[in-house]
Amino acid sequence: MQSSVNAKPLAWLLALWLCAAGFAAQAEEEAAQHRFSVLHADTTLVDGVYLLNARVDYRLSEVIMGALQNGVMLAVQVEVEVERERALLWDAELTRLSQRYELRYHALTRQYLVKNLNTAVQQAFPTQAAALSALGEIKNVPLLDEHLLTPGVNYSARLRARLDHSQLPAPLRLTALLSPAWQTASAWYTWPLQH
Amino acid sequence: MALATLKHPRFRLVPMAVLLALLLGSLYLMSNVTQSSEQFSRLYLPLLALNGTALVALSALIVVNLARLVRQYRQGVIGSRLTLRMMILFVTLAVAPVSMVFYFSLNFLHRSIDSWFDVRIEQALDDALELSRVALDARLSELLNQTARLALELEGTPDGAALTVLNDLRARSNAGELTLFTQKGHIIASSSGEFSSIVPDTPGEAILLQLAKGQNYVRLDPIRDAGLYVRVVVSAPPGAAGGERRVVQALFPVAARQSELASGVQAQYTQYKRLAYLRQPLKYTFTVTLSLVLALSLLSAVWAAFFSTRRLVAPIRDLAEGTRAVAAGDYTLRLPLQSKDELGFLVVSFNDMTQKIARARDALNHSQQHAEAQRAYLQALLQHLSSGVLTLDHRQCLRTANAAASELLGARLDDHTGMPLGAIAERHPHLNAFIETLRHHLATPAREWREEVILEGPGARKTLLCRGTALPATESEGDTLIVFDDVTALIQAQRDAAWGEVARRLAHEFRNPLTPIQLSAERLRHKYLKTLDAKEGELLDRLTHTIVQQVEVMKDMVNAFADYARNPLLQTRPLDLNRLINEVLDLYRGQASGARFQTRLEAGLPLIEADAGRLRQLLHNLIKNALEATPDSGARITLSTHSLPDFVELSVRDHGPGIPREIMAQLFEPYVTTKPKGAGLGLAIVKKIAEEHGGTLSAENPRDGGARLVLRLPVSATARNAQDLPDKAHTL
Repeated sequence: MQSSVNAKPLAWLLALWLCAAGFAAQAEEEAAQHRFSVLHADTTLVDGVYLLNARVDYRLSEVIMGALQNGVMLAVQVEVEVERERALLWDAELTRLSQRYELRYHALTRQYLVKNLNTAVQQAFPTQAAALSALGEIKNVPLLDEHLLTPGVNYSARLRARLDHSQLPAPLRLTALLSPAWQTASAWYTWPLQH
Repeated sequence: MALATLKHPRFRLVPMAVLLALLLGSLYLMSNVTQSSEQFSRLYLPLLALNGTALVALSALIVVNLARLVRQYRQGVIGSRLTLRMMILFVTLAVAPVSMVFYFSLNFLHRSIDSWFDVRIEQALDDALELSRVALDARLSELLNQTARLALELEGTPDGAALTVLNDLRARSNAGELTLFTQKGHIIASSSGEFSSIVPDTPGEAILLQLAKGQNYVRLDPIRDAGLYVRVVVSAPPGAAGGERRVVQALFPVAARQSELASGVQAQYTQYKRLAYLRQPLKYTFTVTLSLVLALSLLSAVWAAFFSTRRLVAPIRDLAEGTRAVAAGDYTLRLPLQSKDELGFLVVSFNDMTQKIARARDALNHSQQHAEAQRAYLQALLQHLSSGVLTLDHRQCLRTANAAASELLGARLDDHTGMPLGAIAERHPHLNAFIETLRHHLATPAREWREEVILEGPGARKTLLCRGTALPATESEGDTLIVFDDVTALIQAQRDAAWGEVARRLAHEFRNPLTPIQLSAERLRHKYLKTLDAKEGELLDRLTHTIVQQVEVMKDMVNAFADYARNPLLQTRPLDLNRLINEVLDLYRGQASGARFQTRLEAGLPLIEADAGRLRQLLHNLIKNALEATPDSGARITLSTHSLPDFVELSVRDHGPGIPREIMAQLFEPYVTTKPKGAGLGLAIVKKIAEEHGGTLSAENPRDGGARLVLRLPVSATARNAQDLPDKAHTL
C-alpha cells in the first residue's frame, strides 16, 4: 500500500524529467544551428613571430539578428590559448590572446559596422553577410614570439569565438543567460603549434 | 553552553535580518536596473543567483519545519494544533496583501513601460532618419559626379606622378582624402588633408568587387570616430596606354552642422529602437525580479510565522506539559522563564504552585513515614512480648492480637480480626471459659480488672492471669485492652516448692518416732507372747505384726519423702542412655513377673551429662510405674529412644488403661495416684530428677490405648559440639 502511494510521485517526477530532457535536447539542437564555429585555424612562423590565421563562421540566430537590427551592439570575443602539452597533468597555459570585435547596425547609412577593438579599425559593410564574413576573417594576427617556446616540447593552440554577454544591455542579460538562442560560443578548435 | 546561546531567540534573529537585507538589496537593484548603471547591471546576475539560493534555502527550511509540524500534529504533540492554527492565520495574513501588491505592481509596471513608447514618436523618428538620408543622398550623387570627373583627369598620369596630381585635385575638390589604388586595392598614391592617420582608409574587397563589375560606389560612411564621411570609389583610367585601370577613392567630409544633426538623429533613432526592442526583456526582467521579491517576502513571512509561532507557543506548550506532569504526580518540573509578559507571569505562578504542592506532599510523606515507623515499632514490640495482648472494640469484636496471644490461647487469632467474641468461641470451643470471663468483665463498668482463668487446651491445662483495662479515649472509643500471661509454670513451681517443704518436714518429723514405735511393738510381743495363752497370744502376735508392718510402710513412705525432698549433689559424667536402659532392664528380665519388654533404641545416640545413680533411680521409677499401671501379669512395655536436636528422648509406653483425664494436670504432684498402694511419689521423683538434669517429663494417652511418658534430657556439651561439627563441615 505504502509503496504504491510512494510510486506515484516518483513516476510523475520521472515523466517530468524526461519531458525536460526532451525539451532541453530540442533547444540544444536549435541552438547548435546558430552556434559560432571555427572552420579553420593555424599559425605560421614569420620572422620569429607566430601569426594566427583563422576562419570563423558566425551564424546569428533570428533573435540575435533582431537585436542587432534594433540597435543592440554585439560584442564578439575570439579567445586563443597556447598550452604546453603534458603527459600526465593537464596542459599548462602559456599565453592567452583575446581579439575583441564590436558589431553594430548603422541605421542612417544602412550599414553594418565592424570594429576591431584591438586595433581600433572600423569597417562598414552594406550587408550583414559581408560584415560577418569580414568579422570571421582573422589574418596574420601576431600570437607569440618564437623564443618563448622551449625546443623539443609540444605545444598546442586552441581557439574559440563567443558573444560577450556582459556587454549586452542589462535587461537583455537575463534573457541571454537563460535563452538557448543566445548561447553562441563555439567549441574549442585545437591545433598543434609547429616549430 | 554554546548551543544554548545559539538557541537564544536573539541569535535566531540574525538570519532573519540577513534575509531582510537581501530583500532590500533586490528592491534597490530593481529600481536601478533601468538606469543601466554599469555597476548595478554587473551586480544584477550575482545578486539574482544569491537571491535564488536564499529562496531555495528558505524553501528547504520551511519544508523541513512544515514536515516536522505535520508529524507533530499527527502524533498529537502538545502545542502542535495551536501552532498549526496560528501558522495558517499568519500565512493567510501575509499572503493576501503581498499577493495583491504583487499583482497591482506588476500591472502598473507593465503599463508604465508600455507608456514609454508611442507610435507617433516612432514615426517621427523614422521620418527624421529618412529626411537625413534624402538630404544626404542629393549631395552623394553630386559628389559622385565630381569624383568621376576628377578621375578622368588622372588619365595618362603615371603612378609615380600621381601624388602631385592628386594633391592638386584634392585642393580643387574639397575632398578630405584622395587615394589612388590598383584594382587589387594596393595604394599607389594618397593625398590627405585633415586626416591625422598616416595610413589611408582602404575600401573593402566588396567595394572593389562592385567596381570590377563596372558599378561606382558612393556611400555615407561613419569613418572611425571622425564623424560622417562620404566615400566615393570610382574607376580611373590607366596611367599609360594599355595599362591596367585604377581606382580612385575620395572621402568627403559632411558639413559639420549636417553631420552633427544626422548623427544626432541616428543616435536618437537607435536609442529609441533599442529601448523599444528591450521592452519585452525589460518586462521579463522586472517580472522575474518582482517575483523573486514576492517569493522572498512570502517565504520570509512564512518562516517568520514559524519562528514567532514557535516562540509564542513554547511557554503554552511548556505549561500544558507541566500541567500534565503535575496531574501524573511529578512536582519536580520547573518551567523555563522565557519572557516577562503575562505568559511569563503564568509560568512563574505555575512554578510556585508546583513547588508548594511538592513541599506539602513531602511533609505529608514525612509524617506518614513517621507514623508508619511508630506503628511498626509498636507492632514489633507487641509481637515480641511474651504476654498475650488483645484489643476489643466497643462491639466486643477482636481488633488486634499479638503472636503470643495466639500461642497462649492455642488459636490463630490474627485470622479472626474483626470477628465478634461469640464467633471466636464457636470456632474454638476450648476458649469458652476464657471468653466467658472476658464477657463478664466487659459487661461490668469497672475500668480495670484481673482474674485467673483456667484454659483446658487440647494438650494441656493452662492457667492464664488476665488483666483488662479500658483504653484511653481515642478515635476508637470503648476499646478494651486485655493482657494475659501463662502462669501455669509459676504455679507449678510454687506447688513443687511447697511439696518439697512438706516432704522434708515429713521425713524429718516422722522418721524419729517410727523406730521407737517399731522397737516397742517388737519388745511387747517378745515379752508378753510367752505369758499369754494361745488365743490371746495369737491376737498379740497379729496386732504387733500389724504395727511393725505399718511402721515399715510408714518408714518406706518417709524414705520416699526423704528421697523426694533430698537435694543431693549431682555427680555427672557423660553417659550412654541406651547402655543404662539395658542395664536396668536386665534386672527386670530376670524376675518372674511375666512382663515383656520391647526396646527400640536408636543406635549412636549422643552421650548425656548425667548422674548415673539418679538416672538409674529415674529409670526404675518409670519402669515400675509402667508395670504397676498394667494390672495383669502379661504386661507389655515398650522403651524407645531417639535423638532430637540438643535432646535425647526416651519414651516408655504401657498398654494399661491410660491416665485418667482428671488427674492429668496434677500427674507429677505427690499423692496423685490411681494405684491402691504407694505414696504416689514415683512420677514426682522422676520429674524432679529430670528437672535436676535440665530435662522435661510429659505424659500423654496415645490413641490406641495405654499411656506414654516421655523424658527428654539434654545432650552433653561435648556430644553437642561433636554433633554440630559434621553439620558445619557439611555446610563448609
